[in-house]
Amino acid sequence: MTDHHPAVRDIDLMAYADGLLDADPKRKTEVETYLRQHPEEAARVRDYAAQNTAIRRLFNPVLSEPVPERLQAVLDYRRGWALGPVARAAIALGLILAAGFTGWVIGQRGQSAPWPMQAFVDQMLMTDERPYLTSRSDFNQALDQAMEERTQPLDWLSHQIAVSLQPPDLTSQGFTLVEKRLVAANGPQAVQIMYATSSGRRLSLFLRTRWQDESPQFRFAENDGVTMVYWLEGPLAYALAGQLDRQEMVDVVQTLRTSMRHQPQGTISQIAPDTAPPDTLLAPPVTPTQPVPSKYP
Amino acid sequence: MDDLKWLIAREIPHLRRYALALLRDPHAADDLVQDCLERALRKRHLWRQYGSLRSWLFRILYTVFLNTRKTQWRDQQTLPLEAIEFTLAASPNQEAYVEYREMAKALAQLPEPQYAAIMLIALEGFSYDEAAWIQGIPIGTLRSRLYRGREALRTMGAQTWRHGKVRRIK
Repeated sequence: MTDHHPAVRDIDLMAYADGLLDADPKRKTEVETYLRQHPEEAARVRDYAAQNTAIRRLFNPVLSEPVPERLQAVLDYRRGWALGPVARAAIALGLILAAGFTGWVIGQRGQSAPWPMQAFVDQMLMTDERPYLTSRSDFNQALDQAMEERTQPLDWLSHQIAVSLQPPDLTSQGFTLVEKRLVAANGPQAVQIMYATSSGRRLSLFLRTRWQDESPQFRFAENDGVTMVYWLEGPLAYALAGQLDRQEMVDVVQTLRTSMRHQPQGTISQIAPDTAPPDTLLAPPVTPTQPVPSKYP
Repeated sequence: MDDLKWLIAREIPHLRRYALALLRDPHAADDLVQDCLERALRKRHLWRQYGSLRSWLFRILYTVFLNTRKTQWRDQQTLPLEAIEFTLAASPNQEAYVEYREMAKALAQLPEPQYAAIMLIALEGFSYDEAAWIQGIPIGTLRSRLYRGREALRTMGAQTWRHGKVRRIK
């Protein structure tokens, strides 16, 4: 289309403006020589490059937007492709539950673990030396981090259950958020949120997705000065561990449940309603380490 | 999630950006990307024949765009500016806003084949070989679309983003 120079054509100029000659230094040099001899062509190349810049600026904000859940869901659960959004969500939930359950069965083969979350926490205790009490980083540093990455692991869990989650606020009980991280033991992944008081007492909350046939019983266990509480609510299973006495623990749990209940809930509640009314969860405390027989076998 | 899905997931923001450029409607753009991802997974066994996962995904996106545009979305070649201005909401200053608004207007004047070719190159940095393959056209056709489109933009944009008014980031 141009007859200025036999060796350099429009496509070379465009390729130069598009940065496509960077991998071909010899050709690039030839084009640059040509451009020095032809200022009007150099202006054209500058215009092309400026167009590219303007176009990128125009559409680049899209790159930093969060990926819509429905697009991510296509990759996560491809069987949902022909169905409507509600059916997709139901299938997605089913797969999460099935995956979690399989992981649990594999993890528990040969053992007689009565209750998955308890087994999970027990595993955590075995595999990681007191992870519920120790923080991996220095306290203050961890606190800064917690402020910066306030919701990161929770975003992962939120994605799993299609419900937006914020770390529960326990400041009214004197506990400040210290650290959040993803933890896993033989399959099921959970989010661990660590709190501490100003005097250094620690408290760990484990959150993970529940599966359907779990019994919604509320359980206490005490072991070696550490109190643990397990319960289920909505789409989540909770475990709380700390060096607190039982009454303190009950207070913390009440605060926590109130805090979690006031968070925005998504579609999960329509798909998997609570199997127990919330008010029956805090039933009278049971004997330590002796789970109550389930009403829901 | 297996490796392929992980690789595909990394391209989603780029697919969304190109889809928005093509359709200028965020909702329709995500519909297009969703359709593209579903097809890609159904045909996942095929992509290795084509070498690059990235250009394979964009080829699917563009093909779906061409196939469904007339029946499902819209028939016209120039589209309203609202969607583009929507993405401009984050622009830091008024001057930049005016410039990009002018750019958006000029882009909207281009015939769709030229527009789609320029967007593919400017946004995603594909080589001309790859871009021609993605659009299913000979490389000469691609070159001609790029050239005519860019010259048209130059003419229309002479008073706005020329002469370095738009800062270069390269």
